[in-house]
Amino acid sequence: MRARTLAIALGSALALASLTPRRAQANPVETFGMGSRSTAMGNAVTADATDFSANYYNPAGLVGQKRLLIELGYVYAHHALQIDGKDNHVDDVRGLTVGLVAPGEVAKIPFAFGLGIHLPDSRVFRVRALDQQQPRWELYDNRAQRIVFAANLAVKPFPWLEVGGGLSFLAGTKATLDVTGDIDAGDPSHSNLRHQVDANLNSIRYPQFGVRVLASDKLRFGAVYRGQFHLDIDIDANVAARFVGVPLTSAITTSEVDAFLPQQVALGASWDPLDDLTVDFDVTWVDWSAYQPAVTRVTADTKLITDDPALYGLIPAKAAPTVVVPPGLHDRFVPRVGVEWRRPLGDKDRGHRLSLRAGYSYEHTPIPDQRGVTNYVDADRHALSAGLGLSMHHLIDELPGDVRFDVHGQLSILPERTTLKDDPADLIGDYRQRGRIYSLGATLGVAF
Amino acid sequence: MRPRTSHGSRFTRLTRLTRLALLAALPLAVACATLAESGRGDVALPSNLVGPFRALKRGQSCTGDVCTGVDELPASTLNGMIAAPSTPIARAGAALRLGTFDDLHLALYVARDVDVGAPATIVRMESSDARTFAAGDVTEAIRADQPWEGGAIGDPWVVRADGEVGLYYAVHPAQGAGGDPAQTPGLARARAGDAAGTTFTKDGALTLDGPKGAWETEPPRAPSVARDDDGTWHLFYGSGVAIGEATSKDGLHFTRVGLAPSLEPAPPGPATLPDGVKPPFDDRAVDDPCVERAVTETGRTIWRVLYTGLDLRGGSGIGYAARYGDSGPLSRNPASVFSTKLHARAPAYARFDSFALLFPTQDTSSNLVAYDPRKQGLGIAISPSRTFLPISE
Repeated sequence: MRARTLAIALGSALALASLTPRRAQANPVETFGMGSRSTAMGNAVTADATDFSANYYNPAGLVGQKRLLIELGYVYAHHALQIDGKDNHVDDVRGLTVGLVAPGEVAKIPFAFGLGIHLPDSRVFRVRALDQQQPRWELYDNRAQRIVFAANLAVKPFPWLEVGGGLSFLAGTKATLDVTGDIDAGDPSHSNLRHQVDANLNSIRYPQFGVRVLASDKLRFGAVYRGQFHLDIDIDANVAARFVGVPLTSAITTSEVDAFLPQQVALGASWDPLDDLTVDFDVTWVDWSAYQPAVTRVTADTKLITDDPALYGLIPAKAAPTVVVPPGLHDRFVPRVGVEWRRPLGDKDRGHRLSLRAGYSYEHTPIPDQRGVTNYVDADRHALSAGLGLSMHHLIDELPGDVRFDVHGQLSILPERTTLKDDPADLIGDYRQRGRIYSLGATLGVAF
Repeated sequence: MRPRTSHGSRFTRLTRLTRLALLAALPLAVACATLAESGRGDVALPSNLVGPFRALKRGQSCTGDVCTGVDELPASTLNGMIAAPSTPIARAGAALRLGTFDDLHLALYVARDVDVGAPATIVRMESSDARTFAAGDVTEAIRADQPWEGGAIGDPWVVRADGEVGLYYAVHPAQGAGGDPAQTPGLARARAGDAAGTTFTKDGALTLDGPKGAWETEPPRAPSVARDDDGTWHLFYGSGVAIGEATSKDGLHFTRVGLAPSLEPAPPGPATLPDGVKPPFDDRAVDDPCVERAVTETGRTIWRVLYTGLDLRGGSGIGYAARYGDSGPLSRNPASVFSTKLHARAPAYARFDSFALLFPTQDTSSNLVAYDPRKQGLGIAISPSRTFLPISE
């Protein structure tokens, strides 16, 4: 009980410390789900998640958890995304998932604190901004390469109502690079440059809120709002050096949106037509029309301090400003469905249980046909998932609660899409894109 | 002494707990066993392989045992230039691939100065690595030895068809046909019966029928020819400041396509431009077409034309224009696909499976203030620009 009180106090402190929420995040959870049970059910768990995955799907569900729950898992996703039949080697996504749900009561009001973390084991996050003409798998290439950290609180003010909300955290970057010294144009290896870096990883917080209505023992409804987020990377480089013996100054600024997650609203229902069967439905509205692509905007102001006219044209004074073509994404509704069938294992009184799960979701691509200079590659996505859960009650005396072990697999099918360029003089030209994404994961949970 | 069964039960419980702990530690161990790696996601990206081009580098820099950069050219060459025999080169013209897939074996056909003055021969230079051309690999393809050639030929173009290699070339008006521009035949053809294009027999001058457009102020030059699916030959040629097109059923007797040019210089930009914005690279003239007919990944016929763009400020660069289908004007890409301070022009082009090489004629020094025929060479550049060729020996 002391641990539970401590956890609640910690959660409250986190919430109070973060009263100025900003925006929500592009993250691997968005693409590959959180927790094996929820992912196996097609992520259609807005009204049904009560484990640590509720930190993402619906914080209100946290208070539906009756025991202190600690979960640890691993997820691995492999992209097999192709353009013109050639694999583009989009990075795999893999990482640990760690979660905590700590329920309790305050003034006889059920209360819970939740923590959900996805910790990539290859990179905490990746900054990748490209020329807008370069083809890239816009929704899979870089957006899932980052850490997720979410803390939520939930209360149950009435027996039929659960309300929750919280914050997720990430860091934006603001950096300054100062370079001084001599540049040897003939032999760069003889250049003598000194540099200083001053970088700040500023905390960015973004909100989510959810409600869950327990209409009856067999029917639940849920709704959740996730805020918009964009992760900005700003780098200023100041050069003061001598170039072919002439003083040179240059101020270069790059500014980009490294990751963007549009705001979204998810509505869900969870129904138990039989005691051992649950069917979940979700539909999510995603505000893709507000999307900002990860395109570098560069400005440069360079000056050679000289009276020699022959040197004037040696280095352009200014770089052409980057004109970002609006991506023109369309809002989308994403339907999801999931089903879970539970079966007692062995003697029914022992409380051991086996669960079989399956799910499906369809995401119509929000990216319009790339007929112009941009090449944001994407295709529709059919995600088929399945999973298995094993729950054992009072396995040993040291663990009087449940031990849960869930596994899941997900196959995403991206059918072929054809890109035809209006301008025959386009340097990229026509292409076809399609792919598969294979995802596997497991979650081990202990409920005390 | 405790009963054996009790001791065994406690041992079993501890083992179970240990097993659970080990199970929980498994993902941690997996995570720790993986190593961070550089991100990718940009492998085998689509490209028309027509630019932007990057000049090949001879830029490896070594300090002690540590070397950085790449070395795509032999040490004897200038940066961005192929190693060619020392006799001055007047103009590149065409590349003929002799290998398959990404094999770099090819032949370049080059108009060559015998002395300072007009080119009188077209030579064939063969290389197994597309970068090193030894003197022994240079043979004469044709010489301006016919009276109607007037001792001046150039602008070579080669095309493979029906097991032969056709060599199209220009007869320059300054000396051709007795020095009368109005009587110069303009263009001519020779053919080689071998697929390697080594020994040519001249067919004679091309005929170019049909009314001239007002833009065609000079005899045709810089021929570039390809054939479509129904066997029609399409000839693109330079004249005045524009590029025109003519078609033929036999590759020798051509008829002009309309009165308008296929490609004109870019319209001049506004008098004042925003900071950093450059005026068009081809607002004075377009010339030296280098044509390729292909089918896109989605099955559309496309004609691609690389060309020389000359600007009003004395610069030049290589441009790219194209069209869908076998007829119609060309659409130009507003940006130059290859531009240096060496006055790159007259592109020769070789497409391989995964990359393409560009061989422009260019100055051998960026300090030239005027054209110097003794300081011309062949550049070499690659697209996609992030592709690197293996070190040339």
